[in-house]
Amino acid sequence: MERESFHLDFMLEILPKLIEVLPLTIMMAVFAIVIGCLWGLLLTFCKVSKHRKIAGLIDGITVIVRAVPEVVLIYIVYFGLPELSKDLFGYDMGTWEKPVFVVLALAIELSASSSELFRSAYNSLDPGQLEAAHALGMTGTQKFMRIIYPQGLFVILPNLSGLCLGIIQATSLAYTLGIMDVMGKAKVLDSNAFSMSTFEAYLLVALIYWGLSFIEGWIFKVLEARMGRGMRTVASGA
Amino acid sequence: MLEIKDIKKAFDGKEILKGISFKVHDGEIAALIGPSGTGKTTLLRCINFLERADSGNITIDDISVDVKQAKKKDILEICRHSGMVFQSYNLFRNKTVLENVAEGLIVVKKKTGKEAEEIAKRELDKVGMLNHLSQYPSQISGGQQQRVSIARAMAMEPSILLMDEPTSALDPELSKEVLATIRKVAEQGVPVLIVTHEIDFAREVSHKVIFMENGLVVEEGTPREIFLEPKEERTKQFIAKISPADYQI
Repeated sequence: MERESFHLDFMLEILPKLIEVLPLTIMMAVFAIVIGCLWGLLLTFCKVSKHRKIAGLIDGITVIVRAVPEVVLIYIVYFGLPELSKDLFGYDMGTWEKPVFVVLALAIELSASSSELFRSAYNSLDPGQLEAAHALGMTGTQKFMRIIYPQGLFVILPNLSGLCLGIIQATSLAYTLGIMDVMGKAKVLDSNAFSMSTFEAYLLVALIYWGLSFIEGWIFKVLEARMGRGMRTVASGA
Repeated sequence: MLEIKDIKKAFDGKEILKGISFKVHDGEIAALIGPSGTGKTTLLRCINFLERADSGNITIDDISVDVKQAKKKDILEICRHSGMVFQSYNLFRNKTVLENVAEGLIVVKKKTGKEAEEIAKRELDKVGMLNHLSQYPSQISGGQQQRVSIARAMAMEPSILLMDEPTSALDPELSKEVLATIRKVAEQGVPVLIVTHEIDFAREVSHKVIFMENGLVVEEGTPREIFLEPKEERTKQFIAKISPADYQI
């Protein structure tokens, strides 16, 4: 059928319905990012550890995970994890909600990519400052919290922002499991309207994701400004 | 008071320290001199466990640690009773001058922010950096950075201050200002062990000079004894090499 005009009214009609499910998209993204970064940090600790075997093993796993497309990873986690859990621990994941598996899959994805990022940040640290912290009598945890984390995070913020944006976008793959997130809902609403305004429906989804990415970018800008104290100016050291 | 006994350290089977012992008494400034590569810096780093010595004893006031059996807790105790000033300052670059000095007080000594600020300001005043409180290390000169790092170490009220060639990254002018600061510190009675190539400084400020070569203490004595009446042949050669022809005390 020939398109007659741009269906702004349709967009306005489905907008509230999409906003209604927006929290689910945001929740999935936030949990995936938080969990993924924490796991990534753990992996980094393993990678820089003195135990060569552990470091090698984690390196290998990272390479394998990063090679798997996100949508495939989501399927593997959704269909594979409950089986594995049943066989290994006798625990039934049947009651778990679908979004949980999306979060887990994306967290795995992010942990692999962010661990590489964290490692590069760790390597970029000035050992002299860590020695100064040691000389002051700081414990390992204090060194991490006061020196390594604030300085290392600043270095990787721009790249981390990109990774997080990727995860936000990847939450749209949740629809492949039939989850009613923004993308899934738009698909259903479009079908219900006999696919008369498919373009408008997805344009609206695009706009919503644009809004999310704008907010994400803003958060990282603020973080960068706050953590960048003293870090940007070039050393004038005599 | 610092006492080290029979400190030994090898890197990859190569012996760097072959059993070093000496004492730095309260109120004493001890200068550790000797040719490059003789293990002076390594020795200093072994004292606060930046490097772990293979064997020996380290005593700071009433804390005595057998290096071989030292646990994390012992190492922290040693660090908390010693201060260190590095060749390349090693200030925390994401913290201001004031925060650099307050950091250890807050994190390690658990002072409140207000107490820490007071102490930090007092110490920064002593090194003449009170006008730079909110500047970052990258915004001040090397000499100023080194003075801040001295304040950072002194704020922790160390029982011994370890200084690893504190002026060798500085040009002569900045070097002078840092040396003046160290003199001031010395006047406060904190025992100092300083690795230095500034022979004039060692001669004028120190009470004791320890000459080290090839991982061993060759000779130790007052500046007068070491510089003017060295007993060992090796010390004589070294002093002759580093001193101007018309050297006089």
